[in-house]
Parts: sequence; structure tokens; C-alpha cells
Amino acid sequence: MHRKLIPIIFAAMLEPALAAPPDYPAITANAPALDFPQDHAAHPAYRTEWWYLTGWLKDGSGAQMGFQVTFFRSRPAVDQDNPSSFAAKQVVMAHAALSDPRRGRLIHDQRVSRLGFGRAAASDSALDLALDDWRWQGDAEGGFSIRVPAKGFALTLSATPTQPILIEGPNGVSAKGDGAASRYYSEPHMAIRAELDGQKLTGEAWFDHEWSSTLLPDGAVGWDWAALDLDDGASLMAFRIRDAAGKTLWTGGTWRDSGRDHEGAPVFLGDNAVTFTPRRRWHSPHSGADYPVDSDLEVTLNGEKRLFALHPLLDDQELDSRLAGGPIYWEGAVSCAQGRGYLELTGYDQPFGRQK
Amino acid sequence: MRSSEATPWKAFLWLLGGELRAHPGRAALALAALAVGVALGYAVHIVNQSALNEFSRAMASVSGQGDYEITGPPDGIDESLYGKIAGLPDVGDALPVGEADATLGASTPIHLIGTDALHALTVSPSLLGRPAAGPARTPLDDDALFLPPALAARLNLAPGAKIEISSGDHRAAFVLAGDLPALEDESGAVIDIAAFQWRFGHIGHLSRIIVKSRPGADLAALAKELLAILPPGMGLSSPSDRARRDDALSRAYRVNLDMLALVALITGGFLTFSGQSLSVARRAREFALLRMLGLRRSTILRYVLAEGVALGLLGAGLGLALGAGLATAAVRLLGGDLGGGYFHGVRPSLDFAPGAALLFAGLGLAAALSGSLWPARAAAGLPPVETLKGFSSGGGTAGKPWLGAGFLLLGGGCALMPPVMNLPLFGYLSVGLILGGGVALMPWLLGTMLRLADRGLERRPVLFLALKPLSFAPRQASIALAGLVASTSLTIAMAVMVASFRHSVDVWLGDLLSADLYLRVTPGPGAPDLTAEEQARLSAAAGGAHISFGKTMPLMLAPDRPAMALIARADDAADLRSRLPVVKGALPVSPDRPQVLLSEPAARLLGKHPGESIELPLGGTQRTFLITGIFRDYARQFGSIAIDGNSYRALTGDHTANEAAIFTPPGLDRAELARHLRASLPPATADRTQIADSATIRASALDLFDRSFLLTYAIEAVATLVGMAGVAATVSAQTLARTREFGMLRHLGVRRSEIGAMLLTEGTALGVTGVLCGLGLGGLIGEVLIDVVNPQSFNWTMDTVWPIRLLAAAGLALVAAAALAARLSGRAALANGPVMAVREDF
Repeated sequence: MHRKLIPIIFAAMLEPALAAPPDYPAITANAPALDFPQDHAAHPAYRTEWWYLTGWLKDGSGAQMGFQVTFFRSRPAVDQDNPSSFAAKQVVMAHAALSDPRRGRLIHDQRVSRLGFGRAAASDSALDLALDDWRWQGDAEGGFSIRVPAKGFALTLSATPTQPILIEGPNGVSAKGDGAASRYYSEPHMAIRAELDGQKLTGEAWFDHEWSSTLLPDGAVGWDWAALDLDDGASLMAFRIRDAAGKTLWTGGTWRDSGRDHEGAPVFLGDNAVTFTPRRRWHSPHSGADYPVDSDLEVTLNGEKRLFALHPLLDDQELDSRLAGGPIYWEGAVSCAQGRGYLELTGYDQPFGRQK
Repeated sequence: MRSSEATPWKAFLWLLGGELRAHPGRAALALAALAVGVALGYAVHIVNQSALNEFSRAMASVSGQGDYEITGPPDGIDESLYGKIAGLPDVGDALPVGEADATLGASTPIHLIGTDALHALTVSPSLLGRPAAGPARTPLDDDALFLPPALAARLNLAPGAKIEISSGDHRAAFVLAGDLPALEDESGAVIDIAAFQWRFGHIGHLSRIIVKSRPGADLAALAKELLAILPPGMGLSSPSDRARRDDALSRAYRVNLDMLALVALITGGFLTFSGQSLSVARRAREFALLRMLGLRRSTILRYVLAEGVALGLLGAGLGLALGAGLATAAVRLLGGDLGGGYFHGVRPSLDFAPGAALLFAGLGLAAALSGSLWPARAAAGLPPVETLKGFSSGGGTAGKPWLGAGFLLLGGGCALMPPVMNLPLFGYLSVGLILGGGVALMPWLLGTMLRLADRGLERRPVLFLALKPLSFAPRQASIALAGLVASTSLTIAMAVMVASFRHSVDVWLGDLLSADLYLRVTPGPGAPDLTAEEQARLSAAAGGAHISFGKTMPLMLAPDRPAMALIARADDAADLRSRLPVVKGALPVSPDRPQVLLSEPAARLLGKHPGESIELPLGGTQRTFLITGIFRDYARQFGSIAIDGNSYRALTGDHTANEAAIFTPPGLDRAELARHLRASLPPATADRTQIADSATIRASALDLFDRSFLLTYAIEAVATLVGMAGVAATVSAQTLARTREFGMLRHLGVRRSEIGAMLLTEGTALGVTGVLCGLGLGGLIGEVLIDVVNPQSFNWTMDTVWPIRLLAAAGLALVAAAALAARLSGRAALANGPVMAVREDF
């Protein structure tokens, strides 16, 4: 029966008629500028929000592995008048995953809880997320410390920014097409010091923070997304949103070059400026989905095409978050000639957000 | 002729056919006795087993798979405990559960469960709803309802259907959002915990919290962490504890019923035995003839055994069919617990377990076979010539008393043994040995009696003639007697035990209900006990009557043991003692040390005696108390601990109460006082308050007792009927076997009426002997049931009471049955006239 469970959080379509439905704020192009450190904190009025840290770690022997830690916050469409302390007005979900080639597949764990009773918290005044004994706390300098005593591995890490914050889109608004948009910023090239099951590791990671009430345009079933920390210090984030036929509905991204202080203005990649061309698909024996794990990512930057040929650290980096009410998707460490990063492939199992 | 060379089985068929034609009733009776025994055993067993299975299935499925479960008082658990528990270091996950009885739609009763789908999957997946494709509801939605597929199908509800749920004064509309594929509780209905709290008036409260340990955590350490933060009144158990506890709760009762059913089976076996041996004895000359015709001993042995097997198979088959029918009827009439009150509300679908069927059929067959074995050997061993001449009809020795006496002694020894796995197995062995010993003593007893009788009877010819045959064939007579004694003694033992129990309960109720009126407050969700202010109002309203407040609450002593009841009652220790039925321990009340009294079950379960001390968690800490006495408590099988009200309030600071005893001055109108008391309470509290006078409580308690023993009474009645039938059968067999003898007597000039009188005397003598022996043996067995089986099963004691009138009536009925049967069959034996009678069988 567990296989048939539906994701709870992302199935937010066709809500029941409520006496007091939640009032989700819209995101428009003329949104106020992002304000730090305040905007590191949660934005509980919005439907969906996430804090994403993905990166590469290496141990003393130089062996590499990928990792990701994500906290999601969701505001389900429940009656806002319900006086119960259990009313699911906010739900927090988190995953942590390791992609260690020596293990051959991704290992991960997850938590989910509604806010309250000391089980889940997402502060709206500072970056402070808690889910049972999992914790993500920000500091004043844009860095943070994370502790995830997960099933199968215990990871603690501290992330320190080495570059300024990168806003993903004009004014920190990332358009997704057809009126859909999110507030979105990143901290690329974060320096990581980690301890995994007592073993000290160092590495580099990409941090994303994104929130929205209308994340995808109508007709979208999923997206391909990549964030790359390039070896020369440049940063690239690129995505495309797909429809049910696999056709691209919208693309977007941001490029920041390797200027000496990395403070050069980001270049925002418009619609049609990004292509993902599958070179090889991997068939998941777990879900049956086929993921284009080897892809050519091509972006058009100032009229010039640049190719990033992505290779997965390992094929099986599929993440099944249904236990925590999330979807099945592929989220994996990838490398290319120019650097390393993470690739996210959603909606290949079933239409994202419409899992039944 | 070819037919004379045919197989001996043809001859046997002729024999059997003749027997069946001549005495169809007798074969039917042996069959019936066996069938009834098998039927009772099988029926009781399957009802018990089905009820237990149903109960634990429903329990396990509702409890889910958590490692521990925290249950609260009926008014619920303060929800803040949920967060505290979830935060404990060894807790992996915790699931909040709210529960209420509710009605779905117009009239479908459901068990409404509010829970959190986000944690159900890891803690208790059976409580996780599986959304259907249509209605676009998630388990978090306020109006999403999930039902077991069978329930939705029964009500013809499709996903998306709107339906109202009401519980108490609350009602709300829901949408069928999907099903609960794994929930075995067929009346379960799952909604979100927030909707449950909001829509049904349970804001702030939970019914249960299910706890899953952190992977790899030590469960015992987790239990310690949990116990350390649980407020008083909370229960902690693990699902396996719970199953074990439910099993323990009813196990003794079920074992007792099973044993009772076995008693019926044994009685059936005895009757088969006596029927078979008499039937063989009667056909002695036929067997002798067959021997003369060249049949071997072993062939005859096999034939008689085959008769037994046929009887056994037929009886067992009939018994199983009858048992299945009985079980169905019993479940319909009495419920799944057969009146025991253990599985409240469980109406099981019967599971006609083939294993149990085989077992009971096998037992029936064994009873029939063993009942045939001795007669078979006797039939094979008859000396053909003498038997044909009629000199021998299987006479034998009068028997030695040693075997029987040895059995009795061994039975007495077994009665002194402790229980095995909390079951009085040695007690039952003792019952069996005493029964066997008593029956084995019968030939010797009869022989001795007849020797004594011989000396004084020569001058009274009718009496002499009546008793003489008994002394010529004491074995036959003692077989008849054995069947009689076996059924009589078991019936009497059960009657003595039940009467003693009922009497003790009656006396106990009298001691306990010393006040005139009793007031009890039923806690409801979010509804507290009587506050100090409400108590003051009641005291004021009581006027001239004295009102004494008390409180009863669960007290958890160990996680794997059912909670005991803590009874805080009366003012001071002396007052408390005077209001409890104290049976042991008269320690002086010492004011300087906190003290408690234990109920009999509590004392036995804890292994404590008066004068010892005991640690109890009270007022948030462990305190040491002196045990000053033991009191009788038939109401709480898992023990209760009584403390005086003053000490309780001083130690805990808890000044609330949930019960009160009211002592009225003579002449006061109690109904008026009850109205007055109720009127003094705030309406919400008054609604939850019951006031009853002690006579009503006593009557309803005894009514409950009788209902729970209904099945026992029924089995007893059946055993008595089987016993009467058995007596009649043995006596009439005995009589008919002597048709030739009566013919002789008629030739000698004895009148028909004189023979009639003789038979009546003979039947009465046999009946009286059987009943008297049964009475003695039954008394012994009853004493074992009272002093060994009951204390070991239920941890309480009782005073022996002989239900004289019942025993006299049963005894008279049995004697009358014997006498009447002798008289009636005598009439049949005399009907053909002297000439035909002498020629009988030739």
C-alpha cells in the first residue's frame, strides 16, 4: 500500500470550499527588493518555500560524494478559523541525501510535521528551521549550521559564504511563465565543513532559497534544473519547465562570471535561452521512470552559446520523498568540464504537483 | 449354505441390527451424550477464540504498530503531553489520536478517529487514509473522511460523497476522500486530528498518543523516559502488552469455560462407557453363540471396538454440527464474550477452526473408544459355554479400594500445587483425579454396601430380591453407578462453586454499599471531576444527610501490567477500614505513617502482605506506604489500592472527587434528596452525574453476575439433563437385561406388582447411592474449584456455601429419574408374560 501513497504537500489542486481559506500573496515583477538577513527567514504567508543546500564533499583521501539537505515549508489550504493547535496551517518537510559512488545509490531520510508542539518550526524573523531533532540555523553573515541525525547517517555541517548573494532574476523575482513566479536567491560557492558519522569532510555547496504561491504555469508537469559552481568561480543556474509532451514551456536562469570579486552584475537568461538535450536516459528500477541523467545543458549568454555536458556522479540518485508527502524525483550530483553542481529532474514519474 | 460361510461382519450386522431394532432409544442416548459433550466443547471454544481474535485484530489495527501507547483518563490527555513525548531522546515519532463514538449519516455507529496523516505512516500505517482519485482531498483537509472499504461499500458511499458525522451534540459534514485499506476495525472512520478537535468539541485534548521508538533505541529505557514524564492517571502500554493483557483479562474465564465444556465431554464419555458395557453385557449370549460358531476372540474385540468407533464418529459429527449451531446462537444471544463482559461490543464472525473441530471430534472419539475398550475386552473374554447357559453375565470381583484411594490422594496433592503460567492447571488435574478416583471406588463401595445389606435383608424378600442381583453382578451395577456419579458430582461441584461465588459477591456488595445513596460523575472529554466548589454545593444540599466524597482513578505501577485502581475514600484510615470488606490484617492504625489497604487481587499480584510496605507513585513522586490490610474486591480483577481521603488530599493536593457516598438519616425521602443534590450542580456537571441508591446498585450488580454466569448455568442444566438421561438409561438397561429373571420370579409366584415394587426399590437404591456419592465427590471437587481454581485464575477468594435447596432438588430429580426409569422399563420387561420372558432371546 505504501507505494500508492500520494504526496500530501504537493497535491494542492482543487481545494475544498473553505469558510476561511488561506490568503496566498501573489508575486509580481515590481516586488520590493529582497532584504537580508530578514529574507533568509520563512515567509509563512506563501504557499510553498524551500531552503536547498546541494554540493560536493571530499574526505581526507580525496574521495568525492554529493549531498543535499532541504527544508520545505508548505501552507496547505485548510480552514484558517480552526482553533485547534493541530490545524495544519503550516507543514514543514525535510530531506537529507548522500550520493556516495562507493554505495552505488543515493541514501536519504526525511521528516515531516505540522508546525507546533515543538515538532516543527520555521521562524519568520531569522533563518531557523527545526523538524524534531533536525535543525537549520542561519547566522548574521549569511552562513549557517545544519544538523541532520538521519536514518543511516548523521550529518552536521557549517556553510560559510565566499561570494555575495546572487539574486535569481530581476529584483529577486524568478519568472516561470504565464504569470507564475517565485522569489528566489542563491549563495553559490559556499565553503562547507562537515562531519559525517564522525568523519571530517570539506567541500563546496550551492544554497537556494525560493518561495512562491504560484510556482508553475498551467500545463507544466515538471522541470529540469541545474546549479553549477564552476571551477573558475563563476556560477550558473538554469532551468526549463516542461509540459506533458516533454516540450519546453519556459526557460530561465542566471549567470554570474568569474570577475575578481564576483560582484559583477548577474546576467539573467530569458525564455528560450536554455536547452537541455538528453544524451542518455537512466531507467529507475524503483519507480519505473526514465531520467535524462546525461544531458547537454546549453545556454545562450550575450548571444553566445555555451555548452555544459553534464555527467552524473552516479546514475541512481532518485529520491522518493513520498513518505514525507513529497514526490519521486531525481536530484543528483553532476559534473561537467567546467565545474560541478547538482541537477534536479522532476515530473518524470508523474506530473509534478498532481500525483494521485 | 453359502451364507453360513460369509464374513463374520454379516453376523455382526445382524447383531447390530437386532440391537438397534430392540433398543433404538439406548443407542440414541449414548450418541446424544457424546454429541452434547463434543458440541458444548466445540461451541464454547470457537466462540471464545473468535471473540479473542476479533478483539485483538481490532485492537492491533487501531493501536497500529507503535512501540508504546499512552492512554489517559476518559476525559482525555492534555495535548501538550504530545509535544513533550515527541521531544524525548529515544522517541522516533509520535502520533496523536483522538477517538469518539459517533454516528455516520442517519444511524451508522462508527468509531471516529482523528489522527495526523503526516505521522501515521511511520507510527501506525493502518490509520493512514488512501485518497481516491476523484474528490481531490488530502488527509490534511478539514472535511476529508476515510472509511474502511467494506463500510463504504455497505453504505453505498462513493468517493466524493458528502456525509454528516455526529457525535454528542456536535455534527459536521465530510466528504468521502478515500479508504483505509489496512484498518481492520470495520467501524473505524479516520479524519484529521485538527478537524476532530474542532468539529467535535475536543479542543486541547487527545485520547491516545502512540509512540514509535527511535531505531535502535532500548525499549525499556524509552519506557522509563515515558513513565518519568507521565502525569498521574495516564496509562502506558505497548501493543503487545495490550494484546497480552486482553488475553490475560479473559484467559482464566475462557479456560474455565473450556474446562466446563470438557466436563460435559467427559460425562458424555462416561455415559458412552456405561451404555456400551451394558449393551455388551446384555448381548453376552449372542457373543457366546458367535464364539461357539467359531469366531475368534480378536474378531469380537474388533467388532465391539468398531461399534465404539462408529458411535464416536457419529456422535462427534453430530456434536460438531450441533456445536456450530450452538455457537452461532450463543453469539447472537450473549455476544462474543458469552456473557463474561470481557469483549465489550465485539460481535465476532465465527471462525469454525478446523483444528479445533478435529481436536474436539478426536476427544469425542477417544471418549467413545475408551468407553468401548473395556466392554470389548469383556465381551471377547466371556467363557462361551457358561455364558450360553446363563450362569455368567460378566460377574466380577467387588473391587479393591486402593486405586481409587490413590487417585483421591494424588488429587488432593495436586490441589496444593501453585498455578502454572497463571493458570490453575494442577487444580484441573486435581478435579480430574478426584473424579476418576471416586468413580474407581464405586465397585468397592457397592460391594461393601451389599455385604452389609445382605446381613439384614433376608427377612424382607422384595428388598432382598431387589438388591441381590446387584451383588451378583456388582460390576454392571457399579458401571451404572459410575456414570451416575460422574455426571452428578460435576453438576454438584459447579453448583456449589457458582452458589459460593454468588453468595460471596452478595455479602461483599452488602459490606461495600454501606451508605444509602451513591453519586458518581462520569468524566467526559474536557470535563473535569467534581471541583471543591461543587463538592461544597453538594454538601450544603445534602442537609441532614452526611456526604463523603471519594475518587477512583487508574494507577499505573508498571508498563506491562494493567493499571490498578486507586480508591481514595472516606475521611481517615479508621473510617476507610470500616467501609471496606476487610478480610485480612487488623493492623492498628498509626497516624504517623501513610498507609493503604490492598484488594485481594492486588495483594496476590504484587505478592504483598499486611505489615509490609509498598512504593506507589502518588502526587508525582514515589512514596512508601504501610499495608494495613487486605480487602475483598470482585469488581477489579487487576487489583485496587485504597487510601483514606485525608491522606490522599494531603499527599497529592488533589481536592477533586468523582464519587460520593451519602448516609441518610432514617425516614428521609432518598429520591427527593437525589433530585435536590442534582439540582445543586451546574447543568453540565449534573448531566454527567448518576445518583443511585444502594439497593439498585446491588440488584444490578447481581444481575450482571448472573448474566456473566448464564452460560455456566446453561451448561450445568445440560449436564444435569444428560446425567438424568444417563441414570435412566443405565437403570433401564440393567432392568431389561433381567427380563428372564423376572419371568422366573413370576413362575415362582411373585406377583407383577411385587416385581414392580422391587424394581422401584432397586432403582431408588441405585439412585440414592449415586446421588450421595456424587454429592460427596461433587463437594470435594467444588472445594477445589473454590479454593484452588478460582483464586489461581482470578486472584480472589470466596466463602463456601452449599446451595441446599438446589442440591436437594437436583438430587431428588436424579433419584426420581432412576426410580422412574426402573419402573417403566420393568413394565416393558413384564409386558410379555412369564413364558415369553423366560424364552427371551431364544
